[in-house]
Amino acid sequence: MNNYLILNFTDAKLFRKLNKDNRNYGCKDYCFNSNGKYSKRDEKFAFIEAITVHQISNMLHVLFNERPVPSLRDCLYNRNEYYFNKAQESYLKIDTPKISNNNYYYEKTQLRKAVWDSWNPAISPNWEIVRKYIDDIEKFNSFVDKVSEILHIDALSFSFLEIISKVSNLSINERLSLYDHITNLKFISGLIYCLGIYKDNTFKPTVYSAITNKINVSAITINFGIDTVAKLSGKIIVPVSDDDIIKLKKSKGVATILDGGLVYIDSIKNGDHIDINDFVQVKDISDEKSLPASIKI
Amino acid sequence: MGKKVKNILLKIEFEGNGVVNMDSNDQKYVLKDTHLRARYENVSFAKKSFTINEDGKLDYKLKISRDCILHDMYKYNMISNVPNIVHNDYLFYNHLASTMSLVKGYMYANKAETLKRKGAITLCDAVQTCNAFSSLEVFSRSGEKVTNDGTTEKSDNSFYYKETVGDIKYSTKGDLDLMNLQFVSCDSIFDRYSFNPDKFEIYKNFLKISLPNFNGELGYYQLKDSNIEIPEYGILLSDEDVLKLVKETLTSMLKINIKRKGAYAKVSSVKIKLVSDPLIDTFNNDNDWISLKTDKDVNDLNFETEFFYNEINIEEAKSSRLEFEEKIKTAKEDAKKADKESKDIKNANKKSLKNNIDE
Repeated sequence: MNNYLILNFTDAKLFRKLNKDNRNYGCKDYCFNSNGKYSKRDEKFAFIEAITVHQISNMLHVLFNERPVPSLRDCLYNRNEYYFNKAQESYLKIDTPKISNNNYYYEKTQLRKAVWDSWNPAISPNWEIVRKYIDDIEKFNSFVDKVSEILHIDALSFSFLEIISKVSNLSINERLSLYDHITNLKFISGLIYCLGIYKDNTFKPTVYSAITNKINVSAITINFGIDTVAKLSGKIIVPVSDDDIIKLKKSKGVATILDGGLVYIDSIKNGDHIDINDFVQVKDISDEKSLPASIKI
Repeated sequence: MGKKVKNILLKIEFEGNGVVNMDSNDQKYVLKDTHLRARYENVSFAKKSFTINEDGKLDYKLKISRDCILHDMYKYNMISNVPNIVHNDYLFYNHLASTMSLVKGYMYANKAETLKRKGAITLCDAVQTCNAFSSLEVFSRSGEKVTNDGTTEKSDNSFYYKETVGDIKYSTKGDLDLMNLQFVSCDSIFDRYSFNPDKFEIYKNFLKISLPNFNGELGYYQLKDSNIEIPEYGILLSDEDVLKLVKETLTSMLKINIKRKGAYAKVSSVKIKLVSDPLIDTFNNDNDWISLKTDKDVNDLNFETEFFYNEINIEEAKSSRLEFEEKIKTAKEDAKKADKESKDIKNANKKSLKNNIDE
């Protein structure tokens, strides 16, 4: 085995940020486990070095049609030691320069935020949200029947916003009888705030958030956010056997490293024709972990 | 038809004028020794790719980030990408079955279930290829006039600096991963739960709208050549479905035209390479690149996809997955227990704190 696979990688996104004590800080990313649990990435360890044997091993798994094994999340199957050892024998060179404080330049980027603890405050209520908010089909039907009865219309054939407007035009007694009905249904008083609560002899303005922000029921997350990210590019040289080359021919020939970094094949060269100056052998790269943000010394 | 295609490599070139993708003013610390030195806070810099030149000095080239490119590529589909859709299964599954979601990927997390799909398209940032030279220009922003005490007039007009450039060209590369594209998983063992299999009928109806020839069914599939012999639950798309997704993606790619006030960048050329041998069909190899200029070029495209998955008999699949499903069940129960314990501890702490305060 004296052949080497030359791989290029471009724009590998590094989200984790470390302070001078190698403690995580300021990362908005989350880790999701297969059991549905998730936690902030800052509360988990990260690797101090940007790219370690673990990332290269996972990239090689994908490149050779194997399944990658996440380092930060639980996984039910084990990594293939053959590719892990191959990753250790590989060489890495990161071309992206370190700008200041021995750190890469972090640029601004827009993220899709899907985590359910950052609520979207500006949602217009609709019947589907009302149904989710009430979360009981009998209560929902009872509410709809009452609204239909008072307004003399088929309530569901109008949008909920139109219903709010129609309710606001009712007489005080009719409106209060609807509120009594809602109160008797129990645990759905948010609807009264949404329709405009009666206080100090006047009807207050409607508060949509009373029904749209019920946590884990009708509340939904904001879907965009801003974070900073460093983008790394460089080269990886991997020793390959004849069997590896045969397997490689059956693969798709590309993989990703870190977050969305494109890894593609440059060439396969004989060991006599490769130059490993400026490269670091991956087994010499420390896989020491950073301190989670929440743990204090 | 020739060899089967495993992957599609992309080379995209852009031409435009001005800066379309801005970064934060943190760049002023990096650029302090260059002609873009700025002493003020009100500066907008273009996104840049930093390198070290032959003299060992910091150099840069302007760039457009991949997120900016993808955002423009799917700008007409983004209207469906609002959070409210998760409240209605029909709207939500319509969105999940759209070609945009199938190609670009998605993630919707909530307490009940987290749906996610890895995008099949990987693009790099488009980096400047010409010698265009950027500089900081002074601009003014006019605001409304404010009168203080009815005697003096104060203006809200302000000046700010912005990096600008003239005609500019960029290029980028990427790939369209047919392995990702051909399989829609709904398996939590592999952490690739893209849709709820109980809602497959809804999903299927919408898939038939996006992919008219779709005729897939849920099944167990084994990744070829993998040492992990656990079949994965999901849908395998057909050759026609994959081709349709590829064509739609390439058509959207040809239409990229990023516009910003006083600046634009539009696609000038898209070249693709159909990869059948990954060691020969590489970015460095200048042969076999197909140039796409019009929608007709895209429609004329035809190839046969290499399938990376084998269908497994249901009985066989269920028996080999039994052990792993038990593991998942135990993991979920453990997580619930741990959750309950931590809640109990928190409540106990709160109670004791309250008692201490009362005392």
